[in-house]
Amino acid sequence: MYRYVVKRLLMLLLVILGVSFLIYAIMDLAPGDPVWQILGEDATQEEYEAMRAELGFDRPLIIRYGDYMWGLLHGDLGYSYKYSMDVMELYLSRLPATLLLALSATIVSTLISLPLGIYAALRQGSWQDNVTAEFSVLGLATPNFWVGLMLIIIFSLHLGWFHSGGFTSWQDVILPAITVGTGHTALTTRTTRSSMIDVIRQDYLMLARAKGVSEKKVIRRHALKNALIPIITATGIQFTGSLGGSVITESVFSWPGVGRLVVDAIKSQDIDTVTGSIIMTAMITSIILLIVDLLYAFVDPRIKAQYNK
Amino acid sequence: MENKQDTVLQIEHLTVCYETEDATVQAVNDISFTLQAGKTLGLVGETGAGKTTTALSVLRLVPEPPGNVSGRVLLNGRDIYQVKKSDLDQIRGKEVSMIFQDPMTVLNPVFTVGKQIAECFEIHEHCSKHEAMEKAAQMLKLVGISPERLHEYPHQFSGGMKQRVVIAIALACNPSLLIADEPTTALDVTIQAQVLQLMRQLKEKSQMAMIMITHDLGIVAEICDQVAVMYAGRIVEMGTLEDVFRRTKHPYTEGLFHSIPNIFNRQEELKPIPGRMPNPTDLPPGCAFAPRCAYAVEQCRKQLPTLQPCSESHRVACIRYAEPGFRVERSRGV
Amino acid sequence: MDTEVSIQEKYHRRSASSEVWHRLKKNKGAVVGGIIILLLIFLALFADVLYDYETDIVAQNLEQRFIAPCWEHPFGTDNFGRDLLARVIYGTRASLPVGFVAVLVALVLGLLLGAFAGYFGGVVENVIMRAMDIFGTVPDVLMAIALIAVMGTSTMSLMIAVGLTSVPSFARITRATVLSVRGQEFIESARAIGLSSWDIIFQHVVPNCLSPIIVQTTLRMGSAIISASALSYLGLGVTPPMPEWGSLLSAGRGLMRDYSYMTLFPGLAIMITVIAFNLLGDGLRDAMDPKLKK
Repeated sequence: MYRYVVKRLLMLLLVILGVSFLIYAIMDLAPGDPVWQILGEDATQEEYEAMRAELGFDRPLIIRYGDYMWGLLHGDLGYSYKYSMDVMELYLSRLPATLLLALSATIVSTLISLPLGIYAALRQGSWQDNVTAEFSVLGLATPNFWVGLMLIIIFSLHLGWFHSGGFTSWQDVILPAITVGTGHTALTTRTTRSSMIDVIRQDYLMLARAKGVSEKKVIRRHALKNALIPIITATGIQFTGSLGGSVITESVFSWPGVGRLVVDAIKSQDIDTVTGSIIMTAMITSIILLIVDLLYAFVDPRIKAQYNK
Repeated sequence: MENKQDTVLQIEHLTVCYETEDATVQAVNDISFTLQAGKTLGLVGETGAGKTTTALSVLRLVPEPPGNVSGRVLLNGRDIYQVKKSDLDQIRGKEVSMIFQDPMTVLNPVFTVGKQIAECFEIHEHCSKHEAMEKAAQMLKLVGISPERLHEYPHQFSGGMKQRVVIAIALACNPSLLIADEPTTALDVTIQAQVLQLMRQLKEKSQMAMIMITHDLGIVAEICDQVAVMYAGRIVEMGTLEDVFRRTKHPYTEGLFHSIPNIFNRQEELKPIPGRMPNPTDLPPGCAFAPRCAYAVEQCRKQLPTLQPCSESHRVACIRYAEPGFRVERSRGV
Repeated sequence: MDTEVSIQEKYHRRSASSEVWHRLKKNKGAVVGGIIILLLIFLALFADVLYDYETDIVAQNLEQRFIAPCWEHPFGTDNFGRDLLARVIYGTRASLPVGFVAVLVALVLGLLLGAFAGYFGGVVENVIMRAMDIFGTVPDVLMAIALIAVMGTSTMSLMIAVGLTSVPSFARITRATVLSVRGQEFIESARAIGLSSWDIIFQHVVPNCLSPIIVQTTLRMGSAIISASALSYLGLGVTPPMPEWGSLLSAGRGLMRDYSYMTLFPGLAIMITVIAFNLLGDGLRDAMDPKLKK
C-alpha cells in the first residue's frame, strides 16, 4: 500500500508539474503586459526595457517557469495589481467559500441521486424508473446558471426566502448549492442506477438471499457496497468539478469564491491572479482525485490487493 | 433417532415459466416428487432442462416477474408459497439452503469469508457478532480450511476453497434440506473429488436430505439414492439409483448413458444423442424428446406422455411402454 | 483474402446501418430530438429572411421597451425595445455554429490523437494519453477561460476554447475503441497484405470505431452549447449586439426583479436545443449498440 501511495504521489507531482507548466505557458501568451500596467501607458521604450529586465520578463519561458514554481513552493504566486495583494493570500481568502459551495453541492446531489438511482435500478423498466430517466435527460440539458437564475426569481425575488446573492449568512449557500448540486444529480443518478443494475444481477446476492438475508439488507449491505466504486468516482469528479466549474454559478450568485475571482481577474487582465488561481485549483483537483482513488482500497479488498502488489 | 420416513420436501405440480416481452419460456412443466430425510435425490439432465429453476423455486428464489410459479412446494409440511414474504428469510438458510454452481461468483467480494459465514448465525441463531465469528471459524474447520483464514477475502481463495466456503455457509445452520446445484462443475477434476467426498462425509453426519443437481452420471452413482431425469422442463424418468441405472426405461436416459465413454470397452462407439433440446419457448405438442428419439413412433409426436409407474419405485414418461414387451436397447436382456 | 474481407465488411456495414436507421426510427425520443434539431437548423438558415438584422435585431426602439410577453411580442421586448422572440431565434445563428465548430475541433483533434495512441501503443500512446490527462486535470471552464484570455474575447476564440476542452474525452473514447478493434483479425490480415499504418488506421480501424464516436459527437454538441452560452453569459464569448442565448441571459440578470421573462426564454431555448441533441445521441447509442439498451 505504501509503495503504491508513494508511486501515486510521484505521479501526482508529475501531473502537477505538467499542468502548471501548461497553464503557465498558455497564460504567458495572454495579452496585457504587466510591465505596461505598472509603468502606465506613457512610459518610454527605455523605461519599459529596464522594468522588463528588472522584473525578469526578458528571460526564456522555462527559466521564468522554474522561478515561478520555486516561488510556489514558498507560497508565492506573484502579486495582483488589481487587488493590490499577494495572489496566494487572495486565493486562500476566496478558497473557503468555493470549498463550502462544492461540499454543500455534493451533499445535495448525493442526497437526491443515491436513493433515486437505487430506486430506479430496483424498479428497472417501471414508470418510476422512466420518470427518473426523463429527469436525468432534463437535468443534463439544463444550463446550470439558468437554474440559478430561475431559483433566484422564485425563491429570492418572489418568495423572498433567500438573498439573491452574496455570502453574508449560512443560508446564502442554499440556492447556489442546489444550483450546482442539481447539475450533478443527473449524472450521479445515472451512475448509481447503472452500477446497481450491474450488481443486482450478481450471483452473490442470490446466495445472500438463500442464506436468509432480508431483501432490505441484501440491497443495503451486500449490493450497495459493491456498487459503490463508480458512485464514489462520480461523486469525486463532481466535487472537483464544482471546485473549478462553479465559476458561472459563483458569478450568478455573486459568490465570493475562486471562480468569480478568476473571471474578474481575466476581465481586468490580472494575469498573475488567473495563472495562480487556475494552477492552485488544478493542483487541489488532482490531489482530491488521488484521495478518491485511494478510497477504493477501503471499499474493495480486491483493489487493495492490487495496490499492495 | 428421527424417523427415516419423514418427508422433508414434497413438490406437487410445480410449473415455472418466464414471461418475456416476446415469448413465454416453459422452464419447468408440472413436476412432482417427494424426498425423505437423509435421502439424496439426483436431478439429472442437460443444460437448460430446468434443473436450476426447480432448485430456485424450492427456495422461492425464482425472480417474479419475469418468473411465474404455480403448484405447491411443501417444505417440512409447509407450503412455502403460502408463507408471508417476511417469514421466508427465516426459512431460507435455516430449513433449506443451496450451494450454487459457480463458487467464483457467489461469494460477495467485499466481505471476508468469516463475515459471510457468520451472517447465517446472526440471522438464524441471533448470535452476537463475536459469537457468530467463532462459530464461523468452527465451520471453516469443518470444511477443511484453517480458521486463521477467517478474515481473508474471497479473492484470496482458490476455486475449490471457495466452494468449501460456500458449503460451510450452506451447512451453517443445519438445514433439513440442502440443494446442491452442480457444485463441482466449475472445479478441476481432482478438486471435484475432494469436494464431493467432503459433501458425502458431512451428509453422513446429519439427517439432512439433499438434492444433487448434475449432468454427471458418475456423481449420481457416487452419492445419490434416488434419481430423477429431467428433459425440457419435465421429469421423464424417476426411481431408485438401481432402477434408473440398471433398469433404464426412458430412451433419453439411455441416450445419456450412451454419451459417456465406457473405459472397459474402448472399441465401443460413443452414441451421442442427435439434435438439440427443443426451444423452451416453443415446445412440441407431444413428447419433447420425440424429435431426437430413435424409438419414436407417430403417436409420440401427438400425445404428451405422463409419468406411469412401472414398478413400486420406478416411473417413466414414455407412451411406448403401453406396448407389451417394449424395452430400450440398454435394458434388453436384463 | 483482402477482397473477401472488404466485401464482408461492406456487406456487414450496409446491413448494420440500415438496421440502425430502422431502430432509430422506432425510438420516439430520437425522432423528436432529430425533428427539433432540423427545425433549429432551419430557423438558423432562414433567420435573416424572417427578420432584418439591422432593423429587427440591433436597432433600439426605446418606446417599445419592457413589453411583457403578449400576442405581438410572444417573448416580450428587452430594455432597448427589441423583440426577444426575434433575438432568441437569431440566437440559433450563434449557438448552433459555435456548437458545431467546437465539436468539430474536438472531433478532429481527438480522433487523430486517440487513433494514433490506440493504434501505435507504447511510447506514443503514453505521451499522448498522459498529455490528455494533464490537459483534462484543469477544470473545463477554467481551461476555456484561460484560452479565451489568450486569444481575446470573440466568437472564434469561444469555439476554439470550447472545442479544445473537449479534446481529451474524444481522444480517450477513440483510443479505447481503437484498442478493442486493433486486436481483431481483419486488422491482422490488412497488415499481412502490406497496407501502411496510415491506411489501416483510416480505412479499417476508424470506420469500425464510428458508432461510439458518432454518439459522443452528438452528445457533446449539447454540452458545447451549454459551455458556450455559459462563457457568453460571463461576457467571454459572443459579444453584443449579436444576440446569443447566454448573453441574453446576462442582459436579463440585472433586470430580473421586474422583468423576469427576459431570463426565461433564452434559457428554455438552450434547454430545448440541448435536450434535442441528447435525445438524438441517446437514441443513436441505443440503436447502434442494442446490447447497451437498458
